[in-house]
Amino acid sequence: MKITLNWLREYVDVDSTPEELVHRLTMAGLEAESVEDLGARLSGIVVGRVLESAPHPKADRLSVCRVDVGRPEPARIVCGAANVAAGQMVPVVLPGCALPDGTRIEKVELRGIRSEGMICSEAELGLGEDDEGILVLPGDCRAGSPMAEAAGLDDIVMDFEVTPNRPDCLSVAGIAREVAALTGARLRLPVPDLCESGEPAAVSTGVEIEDADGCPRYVARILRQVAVGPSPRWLQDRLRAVGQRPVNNIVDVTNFVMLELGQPLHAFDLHRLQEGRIVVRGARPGEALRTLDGGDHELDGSALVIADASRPVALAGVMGGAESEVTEGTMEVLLEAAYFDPRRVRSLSSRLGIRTEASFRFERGVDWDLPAAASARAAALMAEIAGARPAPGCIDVMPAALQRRRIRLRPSRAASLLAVDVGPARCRRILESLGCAVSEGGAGVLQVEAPSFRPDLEREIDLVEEVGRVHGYEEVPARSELRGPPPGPAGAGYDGQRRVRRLLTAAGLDEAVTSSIVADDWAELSGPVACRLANPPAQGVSSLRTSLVPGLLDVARRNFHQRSPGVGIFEIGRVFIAADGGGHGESLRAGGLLAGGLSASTWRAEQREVDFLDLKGALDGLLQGIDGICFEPAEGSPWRAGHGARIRLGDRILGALGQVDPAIGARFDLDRDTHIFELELSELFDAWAQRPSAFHPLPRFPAVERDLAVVLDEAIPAGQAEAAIRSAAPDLVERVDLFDVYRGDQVEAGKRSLAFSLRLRSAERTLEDGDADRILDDALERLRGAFGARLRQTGTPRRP
Amino acid sequence: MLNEIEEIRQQALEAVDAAEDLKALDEVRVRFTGRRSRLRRILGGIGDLPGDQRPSVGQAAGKAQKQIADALEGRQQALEKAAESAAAIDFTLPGRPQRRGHTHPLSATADELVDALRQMGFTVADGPEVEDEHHNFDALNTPADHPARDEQDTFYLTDGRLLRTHTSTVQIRVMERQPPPVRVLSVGRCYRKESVDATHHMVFHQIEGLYVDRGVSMAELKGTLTALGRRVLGADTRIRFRPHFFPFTEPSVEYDFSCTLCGGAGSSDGGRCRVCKGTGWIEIGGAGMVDPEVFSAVGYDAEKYTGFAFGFGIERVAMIRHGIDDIRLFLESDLRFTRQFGTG
Repeated sequence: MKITLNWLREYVDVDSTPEELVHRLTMAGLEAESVEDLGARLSGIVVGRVLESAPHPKADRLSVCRVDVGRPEPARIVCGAANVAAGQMVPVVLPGCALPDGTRIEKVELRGIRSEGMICSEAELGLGEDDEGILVLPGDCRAGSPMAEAAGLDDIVMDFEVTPNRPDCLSVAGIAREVAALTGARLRLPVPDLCESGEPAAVSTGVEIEDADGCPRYVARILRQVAVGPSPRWLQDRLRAVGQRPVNNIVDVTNFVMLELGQPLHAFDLHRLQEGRIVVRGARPGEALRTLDGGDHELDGSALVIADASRPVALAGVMGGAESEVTEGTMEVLLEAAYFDPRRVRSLSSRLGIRTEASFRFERGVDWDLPAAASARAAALMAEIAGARPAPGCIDVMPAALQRRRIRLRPSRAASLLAVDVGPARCRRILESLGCAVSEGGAGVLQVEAPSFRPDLEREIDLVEEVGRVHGYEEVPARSELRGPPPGPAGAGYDGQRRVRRLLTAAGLDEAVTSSIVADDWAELSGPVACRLANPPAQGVSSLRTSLVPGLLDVARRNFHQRSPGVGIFEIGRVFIAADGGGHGESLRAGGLLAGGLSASTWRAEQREVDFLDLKGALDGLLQGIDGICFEPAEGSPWRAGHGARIRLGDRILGALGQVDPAIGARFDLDRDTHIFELELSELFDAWAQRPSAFHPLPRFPAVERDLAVVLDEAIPAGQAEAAIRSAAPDLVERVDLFDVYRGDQVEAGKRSLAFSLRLRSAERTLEDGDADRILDDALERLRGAFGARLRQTGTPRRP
Repeated sequence: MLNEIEEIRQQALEAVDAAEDLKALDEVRVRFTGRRSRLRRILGGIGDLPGDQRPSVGQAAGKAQKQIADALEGRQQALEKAAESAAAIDFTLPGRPQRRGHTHPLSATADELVDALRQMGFTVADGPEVEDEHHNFDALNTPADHPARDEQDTFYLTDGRLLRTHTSTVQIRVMERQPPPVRVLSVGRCYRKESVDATHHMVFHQIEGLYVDRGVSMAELKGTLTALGRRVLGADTRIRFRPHFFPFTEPSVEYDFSCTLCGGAGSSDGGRCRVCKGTGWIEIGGAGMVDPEVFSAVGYDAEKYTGFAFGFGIERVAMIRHGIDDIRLFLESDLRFTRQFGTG
C-alpha cells in the first residue's frame, strides 16, 4: 500500500521525521517496504524566469538567455530550444548539479559565450516523453523555488506491506488512524460538503439485491450533468505518486476515494444500464461479460454479478463491464459503493484470474459501514471537479442487519500470554485508541465492541494481539527455562543421517545438495514412476526425483566443466516414488559418486583415476560390522554391463553400487569412468540396529600366519574363494585377506591368481605347523573341487 | 705424576671443547680415554707405585677420568642437537593431504541449530515433504478462501496433494499424535513456487520449534530464540520482535537479530553497514503463540494450554554466518563453494 506523507498529513498530524514515523509503524506491525523521496532526483533543479532571450551571435539555433534563478544576479544560459522566450517559467539545472539521469551540468563555453546552467525539457527531467523544446511551467511558479515543488514531487512515498488481516490499512485514512492510535494525535477524516439538487436519486434508479449473502449492502448514488474530462493537476499528481494512472475525472475520483478511505467504488454510465437500474444476483447460465480490460468471461451461477434489467454489467467487487463504463460522452453516472462477501469476491477473482485493487480489498474485508460515507465523499469531489450535480439522497439497500462484533477480553489473560504487565486500564486505552468501544463486563472482564473496519477482531486472542502490538514487545522478558516433556529419540533417523554424513566425509566425499524437483527425463532414467507436479516451475521439469543419482551426475558434470580434476560427492535426501493406485512413498537415501582423478591436490598424493574399489572402500565405514552383507551382480539401467552390484543383507536390499553405463554418463557430458552408489537409509539404519556388539575375548594363544595363492577362472568371484577357504576350518580360520590379484605370463589366459593371507588360531591351544598344513591342504582341496583351482604358491609370510 | 694427570686433564678438556663435530669428538675420546691413552696407562700402573702414593694418584686419575667422560658426554649431546637442528623441518611445506570430504554449509548450520534446540529439550520430529491441504493449510488456520494463501505459491501434484510450503506441517502431525505437553523441532525441505533469484529459491530448508504446555507465554518464546541466536550468531546477539501476521499464530511476530557485522550500530567502517543496510537488525523469521484455531484442529484445549511456534530459513542463517550473497549457490553444489566450508 503506497501512500505519500503529504497525503497522510491531511488526516493526522505527523511531528516526527519520515524515518521515525516508518519505524514506529513497522514496530506496530505495518512494515514499510520502501520510502522514496519523490523529489530527490530533481534536487538542485530550480524554477527560473526567462528575463531576456536573444539570438546567439555565432550560432543560428542557439539563444542566449538571462534567467532569474532566485539569486541576486540572473544567470546567463545558452539554450538550444526553439521555444524559449522571455517571460517563461522554466526548469533550470545550475552548474554543479545533475539531471535525473546523472548527467552533471557545469559552466561551459558554447561558441564563445559562457553558459551558467541548462534549461531542460520534460524528457530530460524524467517527467514525461516530450523532448521537443524546453518545459514551460505555469506562470504562478516562483523563480528560485525547487523544481520538485513545482512538479508536485515535493513529497515522500511510503510503501507499506499490509498483512492480509488488516484491510483497514489499505487506505490513507486507515494508516492515519493507526498513526493516531500510536502517537495520540487526533484523526481528521474528510467531511464531504455535499450539495444535492434536482430530482431524488430514487426517481432515476432502483437497486434490488437477489443474493443477500453475496451482497449485504449496496449504495447507489446518481450524479447528473457530469463533464467528463481530465482531472485537475493535484488529483493526477496524487494518483501518479502512488503508482496509479489517471484516466478521467470520474474514474480518478473513484480511485482516489478508494485509496483515501478504502472503499472501492464503481461508476456506471447510467444511460447504458437498461432501465437504469441495478440487480445484484448470481450469473445465469450462458451469461458472459466483457470487462473494462477487454477480457471476455463466461460466467456460471457461482459468479456474483451486478446486472441491469437484463444482463450483467459488472463482476461484483472485481471489475466493471466495458459496455457500461464512463466515457467522454457520459452525462449521468450511477456511483456504486457496496460491501460484498469476501469469499465470493475471492473465488470469482481467482477463478477468472482477475486481480484488481477492488478485489484485493473486498476479499480481505471492506468496512461495511463505509459505503454511504465514501459515496458521499466521491460525489462531493465529482461535483467539485467534474461539475456534476448529485441527486438528493442515495439508494442504500442493506438486506441483512450488520452488527459490530462484541468480544470479551480478560486483561489477566492478555498479561499472562504477553508476559507483560498490562492492566485493564492499559488494555482499555489501547483498544479505544484503535476505535473499539470498551465497557466493564464485570469480574475483571472488558466488554469490547470491535469497529466495523476491523473484520480481523473476532476473538479474545485478536484483542490480546492488539494490546501487545500497540504496547510493544520490547518489555517482553526473555525466559529460557522450559518445562515440558523430557526430550525423546530423534525422529527421521536424524542421528543416523548425521552418522552417514560423518562417515562419508571421512571417506573423502564432499556433500552435495540438489533440487528434488527434476527434469522429467531424469526421472525416467532412474526407473520407477515419479510423482508429477500439476504446476511445474518449467516445461519438462515436473517430476519429483526418484533417485539421487541423476542429480549427482549433474553435479559431476558441472564440476568437471569447472575443471575439477576429480569429483567425489554424496547427498543425503529424500526420493519420491508414486505408489500404484495413488499416494506415494518417500524414502531417505544416501547417494554418492566418484569419478576422475583420485586427489584434488598434486602434493605428495597418489595420482590415478578412481575405480570401483575406491567406491566400495568409501562405503566400508557405513557397512563395517554388519554381518552377512553380500554383493550380487545387478544388471540394467544405470549400470554398465557387468559393473553393477546390489548390496544384499539376508532378504533385504540395502542399495547398489557400480559403474554408470557410459551412455548415461554421456548424457551428462561425463566421458570418464563414473562410479555411483545409492543406499536405502531405513534399511541401513535397521542393519545398524541389528549389529551384534558382543565382545570377543582377546586371544590367549598365538596365531599362525600362512599365505595361499591359487589360480582360478576369471569368473570365480574372490568372495566365493574366500568363503571356500573359511569353510575348511570355520573355528580356526580367524582372518582371510586378499592381498594380490595377478594376471599375466605365469597364469593362463582367462585365469587369474588370487593371493590370500590367512591367520589361523585356536581358542584352546597353540596350533602346530602340522595343523596349519592340514587346514591349507583342506582349503586347497575345496577350491579344487568347487572351482578347479590350481595351487600357485603356499608359504609362510615374511611380512612383519 | 700428579702434575702429569693435571696436564692430561686440561689437555683433554680443551680438546673436547675444540671438537667441531662428532667424528672429531670420537678421536678425542680415543686419544684421552682409549685403551692406550696416557690416563689409562697411569691407572693401570697404580699398583706399581709406592704404597703412600697410590691413594693420591688413584684419586686424581679417577677424578680426571670422570671429568673427561662428563665433558665428552656433554659435548656429544650438544653436537648431536646441533646436527638435528641442521636437518630441521621446513614447517611451511604443505601437509600431506588426507582425503577428507566437506560438509555442505546447510547441513552444518542445520546441525548446529538442531544441537542447540535439542539441548533446550526439543525433540526432532518428522513429516513428509509431499503433504495434503489439511496439514499444510487447513489445520494451520489457513482455509482455502483465506487471502493468506496468496502469500505462498504452492506446488501441487497431479493428484491434488502438494509440496509442503513450510515445516509447520510437522506441528500438526505431532499434535495429532500426542497430547500436550509438546516440545519438538522439525527441520527439512520446503517448496514454494517462486521465481529463483539471489534471495529466493523454490527449494529451501526450514527449521521450526513448537512448545506447548500450561502457562507458556511470549517470554519463553523470546528466551528460546535469544538462546538460539546467541548460539549461532554470537554471545552478544540481541533479539527484536516486530508484530506481524501468520494465520497459525496469534500474537504473531517477525523477529530480528542484532546485526552480526555492526552489532546493531547500523554503521561499520565509517559507512552504512552493508549486512543490515544500516538498520542494525537482520530479519530472521516468524513466530508467535499458537493460534487457538490450530489447537482446536488437533483437539487441544486452548484454555488450558498455550504454546509458541517459530520457524526460519536455514539458508538465511547460513548466508548471514558465512556472508554468502546468493541463495542459488546452495543447490548448485559447485565444489569450489562446498570446499570452502568445514570438514567432518
